[in-house]
Amino acid sequence: MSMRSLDDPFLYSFRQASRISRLSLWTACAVVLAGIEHFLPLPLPWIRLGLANGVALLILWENDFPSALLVNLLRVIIVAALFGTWSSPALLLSLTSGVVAVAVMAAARRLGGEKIGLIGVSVCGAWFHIATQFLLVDWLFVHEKAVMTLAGPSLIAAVISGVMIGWLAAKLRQRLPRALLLTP
Amino acid sequence: MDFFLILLFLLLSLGLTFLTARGAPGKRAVIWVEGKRVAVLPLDQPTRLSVTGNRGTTIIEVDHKGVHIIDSPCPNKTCIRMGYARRNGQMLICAPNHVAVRIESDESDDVDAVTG
Repeated sequence: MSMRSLDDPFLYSFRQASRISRLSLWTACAVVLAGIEHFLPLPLPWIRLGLANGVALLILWENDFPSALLVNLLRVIIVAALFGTWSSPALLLSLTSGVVAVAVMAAARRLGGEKIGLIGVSVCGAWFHIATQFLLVDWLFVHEKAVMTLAGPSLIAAVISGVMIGWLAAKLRQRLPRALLLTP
Repeated sequence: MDFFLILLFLLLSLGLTFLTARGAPGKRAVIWVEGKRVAVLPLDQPTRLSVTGNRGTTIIEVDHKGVHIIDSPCPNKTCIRMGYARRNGQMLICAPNHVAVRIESDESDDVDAVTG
């Protein structure tokens, strides 16, 4: 959405259509990745790799904060509908931490400028994603010290998976055509 | 920059793990002899207690630092060298004399819920 040239209605609607189709494509991709992750065997049940967040990271890196936020929110809602976690607190947790993660990644990207890479941005997002979930659980649901005992190990896991996702995103960015990632 | 961010978040997480893993201070020391619960000592009241086990008399003391075993008839004196126990779930054990001290509190150690 770099140019809003309303004096050329055809070009404008073409750009809009192109943007919508690309963001839909990436949303679909994120949903599929979340689905794959749902069935991926992991050593501990409360560890998530965050493959879908890698998509938000790539969109953010190549485009802007609103695009990444839109893709991530749509993904969370669609995944909740698919796996039937609508009414449970899990949806509230996922939505909030999803927004926080993208916001933190956007802030890290802006503050870090040239010095920060995909891995750094990814780690920031992953860490705050998990931190948000724990804070929310503590404030809203179970105010129990035992939950906080899990926070430390989970945050360590978040750093590790954040590095992995950042590395994967960097590899993908090298291989994918720029036109596919960039929404005009 | 990326490396320092990874290091920063890792250290933060490790610090939090260390802080929370130590457990909350307990409320009372429960004394077990020969597998039976024989006494409960509140940790906020300094006391001394002698219990008779398999081999003889073990002396347990509660003071402001927690609970510790000050005398025991066992050969190794491992229970005395274990020092103080004061956090929830901590234990002092004198295996030869069949004496155990376990710290308890009203809070449970169990997890209530797991979210995705």
